Amino acid sequence: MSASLIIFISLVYLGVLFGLAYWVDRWASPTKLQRWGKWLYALSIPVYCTAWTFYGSVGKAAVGGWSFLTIYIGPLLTIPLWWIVLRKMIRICKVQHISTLSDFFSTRYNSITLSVLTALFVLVGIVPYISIQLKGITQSFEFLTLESGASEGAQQVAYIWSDSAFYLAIILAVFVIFFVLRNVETTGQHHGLMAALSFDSILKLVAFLAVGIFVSYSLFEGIGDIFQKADPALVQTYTNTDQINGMDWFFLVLLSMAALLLLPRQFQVMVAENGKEKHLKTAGWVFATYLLLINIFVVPVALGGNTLLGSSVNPDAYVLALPMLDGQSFLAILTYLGGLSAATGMIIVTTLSLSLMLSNNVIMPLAVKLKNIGKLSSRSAVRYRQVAVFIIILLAYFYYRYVAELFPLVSIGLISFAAIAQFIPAVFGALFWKDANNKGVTLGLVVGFTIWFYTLVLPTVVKVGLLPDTLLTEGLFGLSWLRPEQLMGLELDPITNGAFWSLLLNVSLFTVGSLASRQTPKERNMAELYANIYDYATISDEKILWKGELVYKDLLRVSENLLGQEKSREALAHYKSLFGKPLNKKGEVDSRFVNYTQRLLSGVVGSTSARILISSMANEEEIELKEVVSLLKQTSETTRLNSQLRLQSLELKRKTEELLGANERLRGLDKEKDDFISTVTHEMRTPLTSIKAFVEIIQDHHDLSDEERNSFLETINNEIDRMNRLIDQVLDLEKMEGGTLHLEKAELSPVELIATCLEGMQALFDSKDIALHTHIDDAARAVKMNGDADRLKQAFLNLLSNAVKYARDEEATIEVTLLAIDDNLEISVTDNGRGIRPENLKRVFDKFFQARDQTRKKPSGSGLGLSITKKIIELHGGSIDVFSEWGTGTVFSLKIPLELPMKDVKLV
Amino acid sequence: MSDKVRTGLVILFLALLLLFNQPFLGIFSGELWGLPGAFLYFGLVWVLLIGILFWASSKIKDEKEP
Repeated sequence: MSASLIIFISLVYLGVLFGLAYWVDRWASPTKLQRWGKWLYALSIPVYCTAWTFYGSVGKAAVGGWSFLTIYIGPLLTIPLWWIVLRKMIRICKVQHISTLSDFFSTRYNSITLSVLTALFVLVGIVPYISIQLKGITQSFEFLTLESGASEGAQQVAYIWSDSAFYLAIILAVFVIFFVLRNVETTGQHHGLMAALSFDSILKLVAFLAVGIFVSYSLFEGIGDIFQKADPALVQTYTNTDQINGMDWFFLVLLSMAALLLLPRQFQVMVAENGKEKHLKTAGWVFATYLLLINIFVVPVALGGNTLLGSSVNPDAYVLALPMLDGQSFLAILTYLGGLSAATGMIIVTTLSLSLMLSNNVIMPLAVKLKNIGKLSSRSAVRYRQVAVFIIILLAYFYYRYVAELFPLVSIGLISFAAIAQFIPAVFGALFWKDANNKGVTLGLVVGFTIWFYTLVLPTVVKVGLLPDTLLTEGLFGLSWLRPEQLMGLELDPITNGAFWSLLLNVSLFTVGSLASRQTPKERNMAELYANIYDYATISDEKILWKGELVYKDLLRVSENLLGQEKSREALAHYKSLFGKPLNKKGEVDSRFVNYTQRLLSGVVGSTSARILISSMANEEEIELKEVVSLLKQTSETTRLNSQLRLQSLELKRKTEELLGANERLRGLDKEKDDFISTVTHEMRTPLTSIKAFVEIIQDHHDLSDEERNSFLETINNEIDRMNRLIDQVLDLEKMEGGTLHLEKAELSPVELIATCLEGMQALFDSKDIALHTHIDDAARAVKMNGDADRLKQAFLNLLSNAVKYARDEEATIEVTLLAIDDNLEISVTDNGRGIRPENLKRVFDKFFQARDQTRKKPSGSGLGLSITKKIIELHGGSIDVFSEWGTGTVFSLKIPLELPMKDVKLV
Repeated sequence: MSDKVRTGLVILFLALLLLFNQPFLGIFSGELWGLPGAFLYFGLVWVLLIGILFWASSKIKDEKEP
């Protein structure tokens, strides 16, 4: 393909990317940004997938084995921990206005030296990583433009000004300077950048999937076909997973886990650019899905490339070579753009993050020392960052030009990962271990990085011929146990060797150093704040100790210079609205205002420079440990009181709910009592009215015949009996509920008892033409039980009369079953009447239920029968249930224990 | 964040650490339906994890942010 076409396409792509970033920053409405925030955040995290993913993974997979996948399994494993670890980092950085890893350490461990060391270590560790992105782009550019289509990699050009990688580096530096570093404030979100990164992520995924589908289903007949046609020895490296070296695998996963959380670009995107902590939840599953999709075709493309191209093409370039082999120019260009987007996204964010680290932790502190503070302005802060961007980009370019050329993408990337992993102890110490201190961290980091350099970087220097080979083969000073790649004689993979020894010594010295030395009071103060950030999020300015004399005007002047007059005034007004005037009795600013201003300045120049600025203006006094202890005591006392108050409030709430429940129950009982009285008086009034009417007739009509008179008197007698029954039932029920009912317990035969009841009811059954069926099993015939015969009869008669009452007018049947099962007597009375509606089933045992049932014509009876029956059965230790289906009949089922324990009988 | 959520997330992390390392990976040595067993195993665990993360994202309660 023509070079000018590829350059034109590349420039158009970069133009679109820059245009998108500009448009979002300038024109996108806050509402839209809020709505799209979680998706932009989620889609910018795959900036993790760089040119290394795009070209290097396939290159590594083509050599054989699953080890390329460790780079993605590591990040995948961290996702469940995001809500615990990453959220805490985000909260700390938001509260303290932190945007880089070096400021994160410098604030927690209260050390400027540590912040400078961190910035320099990260720079040394990451510049090679940026350089492999330049290498990836250049290789792909050269590959597309060479006529042979079989490049062995980028061709070294004699002069820098004729090297396309140089111009690419400059273009990217310009983008970072003009589109990302325009704002003076470094904290907060860069929406345009996030949108550009999301666009990059989508493009590289689409491009890789397109190549994967093309190779699997156009060049081959599916993934299975690729495995069948591939070199069996290569396929075996994928099928024999028991051959995977567990230790190498584990260390690669560990390094990748650290990389996802701590690489400068990941810290920038995941921590500094986070808009809301809750966005982590969506980002988790989106990122896991993204990683799956971008890896799904790596092995098929690698095996396909190996089968069709073999060693004639560098495996890193298979993704480009395969579409070109089939003359698919469009797909080849799309793939090239995917690789370009993967590399540019990484370079832009890494350069941004590193430039902030360098300017805030190295250049700005130097400037403060060398210049008059009054001359520092927002413009100079931005300029320092711009200088830092150019330094980083040029360092990366020269590393690419003179060193990275000689190594595969993956090996350089892993060395960078091992460098970043050195920060794991310091980060976890800051988040979770209050005793971790500056001395321990510094000792661990210095030794860890020294070992990292000796075991991983030095061999690369030897391999490019800058140092003699004997260093690798015979060891330093000829001592074989000091061979960099076999330290202490351990025969491990070089990366595992370097990672193992550097991390082992780093963690050990960090722990021993922290335990053996004491924290400064200020450090102790910050340790408490970091570890318990959720408690201090809104009161951090009050909880950071600062003692000294600082003139208000000085602080205001620096603040106006760096923040600008308008923002500075806004911030002051905000402070006044919260806490009042920031001056103490001597006319000096109080410590809270100093902390507040320092936080604001941290957003512009980083926390290290902000601290240096404040220190240079004030006469700071030493803080004593007892002051920190006192503050911590106050805080812990406040926390304790808050927690006590919360508990008391919960207890009060619970008691109030209990009281409300009791009140509700009392109201219910009161209503029940009223209903009861009302129903009883109503039930009494009916017979009384009838009696009164008949008595009046008899009194007023002396001419009544004897027959008529006797008939009326019989009616009066019946009504009086009805009233008597009602009164008896009410009294029975009251005794049962009050627990004063006497059970006349004696041995009885249940069969005889039921037979007696049925005999007594036989006349009624006959009169109503009801067919009676009884089923009594042999066991039931033989059993005897203890119980009150009269009360049981009463209960059983109630059930029988109930069945008669509700029986059908025609073909009515009643079925009585008596069974002895285990130690229980089970009796059921079934009728084929109309049944009970489902909504009334639970209420049939309520007192006067039938009287209150307005859905049908009131049957005869008081409505107390079933309530009394239930109580009698329960007093015998049994239970009663009702089953019914509307329209088909009702079954009352009783279960009574045959051996009635004495304690269960309420005898008075 | 409740202790229940925190414990659940840590257990999920430890389970993944186990599933994606030796000796677990060695169990899936060999071929299945013409593909390496590990190819299918990685895919299955990965998809399961995505499902769990998706489910968890609706279950973890949002907390007040400053």
